Amino acid sequence: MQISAFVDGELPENESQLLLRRLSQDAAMRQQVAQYLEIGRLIRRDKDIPGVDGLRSRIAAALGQEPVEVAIEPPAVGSALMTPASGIAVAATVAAVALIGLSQLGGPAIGNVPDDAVAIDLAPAYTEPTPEQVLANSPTARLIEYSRRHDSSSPDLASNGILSRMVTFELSEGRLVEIEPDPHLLPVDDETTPAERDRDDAARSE
Amino acid sequence: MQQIQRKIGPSIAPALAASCMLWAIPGMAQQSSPDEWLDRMSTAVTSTNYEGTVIRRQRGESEALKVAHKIVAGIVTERLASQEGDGLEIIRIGDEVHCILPDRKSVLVEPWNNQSTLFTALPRSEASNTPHYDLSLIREGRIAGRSAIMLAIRPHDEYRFGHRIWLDKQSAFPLQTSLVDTNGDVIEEIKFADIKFGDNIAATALDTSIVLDSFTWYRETDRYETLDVETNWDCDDLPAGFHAISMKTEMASDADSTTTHIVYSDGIASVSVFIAETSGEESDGWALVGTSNSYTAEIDGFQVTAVGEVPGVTVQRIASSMRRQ
Repeated sequence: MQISAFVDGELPENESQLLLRRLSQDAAMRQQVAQYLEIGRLIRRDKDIPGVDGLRSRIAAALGQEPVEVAIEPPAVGSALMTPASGIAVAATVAAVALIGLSQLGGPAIGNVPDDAVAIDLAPAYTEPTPEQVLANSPTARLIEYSRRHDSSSPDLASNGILSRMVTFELSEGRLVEIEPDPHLLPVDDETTPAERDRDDAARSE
Repeated sequence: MQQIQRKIGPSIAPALAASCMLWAIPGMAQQSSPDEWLDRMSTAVTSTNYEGTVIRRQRGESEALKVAHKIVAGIVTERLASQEGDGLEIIRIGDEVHCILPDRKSVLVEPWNNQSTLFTALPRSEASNTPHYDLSLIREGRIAGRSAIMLAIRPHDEYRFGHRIWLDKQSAFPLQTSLVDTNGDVIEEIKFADIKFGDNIAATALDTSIVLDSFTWYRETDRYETLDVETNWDCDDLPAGFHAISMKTEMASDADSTTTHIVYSDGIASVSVFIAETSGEESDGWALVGTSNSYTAEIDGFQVTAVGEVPGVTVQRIASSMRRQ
């Protein structure tokens, strides 16, 4: 999920730096990135891979360079390029291997998918509706009542809360009983000023 | 930087510079964990006295509200006043809310639980234990003129919405909260344009500005008789992490039929499923009620409706896979 956050640009800066360094040293993680982006593309049925342009730009920005696709072989383990003291050299290598991982996408198959990769159902039974589908039906009185009962049933998890009550008055009219006004909301008598009420409040709080 | 290179050597200086960047955001390394921020937020929402202006945005439409919250002798008093339209006001005193509707010259009194009237949609501190979301601190910034830090709650799949919460660095009070969909678009946002904390919240900030002399006061009668029951309805294809947290049968006082009401939750999001005999009046498919999606399907002669603040695909999946066991 850290990879997911990184692709979406929501990983904190310090964690992004650490992740890039880990990518340079972890082939399995690089494969995971490639698979993750492929899964996302297939689920969304996008031809363009979401987040790729932004990812390349962020890597390039870290290097202070223009985004360039360069096919560079990953350095061998133990190479001088992989030592922590290499600084920018490490960052450049990480950027290159990240781009390699991304360049493997787009084809019909990912060449080096591990044998134990989880099979992905590419034909989900349910899909997110379009705005037109959602707005095709106006909420009926019964549906609005269901929404109110949903809010009331799980107050700790309630969604619209009190602000949604404003639109449900019409539904309540058949079940309303007239009551006496609440004295707390009626105008206070002229002998009590707001400042005096504030002092009274403070005294009660002590 | 050049001076450092002369003393230490060119190959190490960039590494040191990169290391320093890890601490570039002031104080980030010493911040509390996301869990701790969430805990502090939960406390701040209920215990902070504040007054301010809130901009509430929902699916592209905005509304300004004047808000105030004060605790006196253990009793919470809150006021939300719409600055637009008919000027609706909500005043909460303890466990009752008063919905003041100027256009109808009416006040509707309803019972209320112990949560904030403004922040009912915030994840609780238990969200850190939910395996289907990630919690992370993203960056610092300024909201309503105050230093703030952004907490992101990211779902692991497309069946849940995410949350983005900007917390006041000093008090962990939520200065801005956003509910975001799977595309990162904001569904609902509550943002303080200005805010004042402290005990010196004036009494007038909590008083209604509307003269109620000629208003009629109402209370809603209990419409439903509710029983906790075991039901033979269940969902065959719940999204991962969702489980039933309550089952009820509800009978309206003015109806002959009952409705089965099951609530499913993953710890942050919740979905209600209502199962009633088919009336022939409802159409199948999706609908939108505020920020909640709903989906209705007919199953075995029953009308099954799922509603909740989750993506449309989630309510469709749950409603469509309800079965009598």
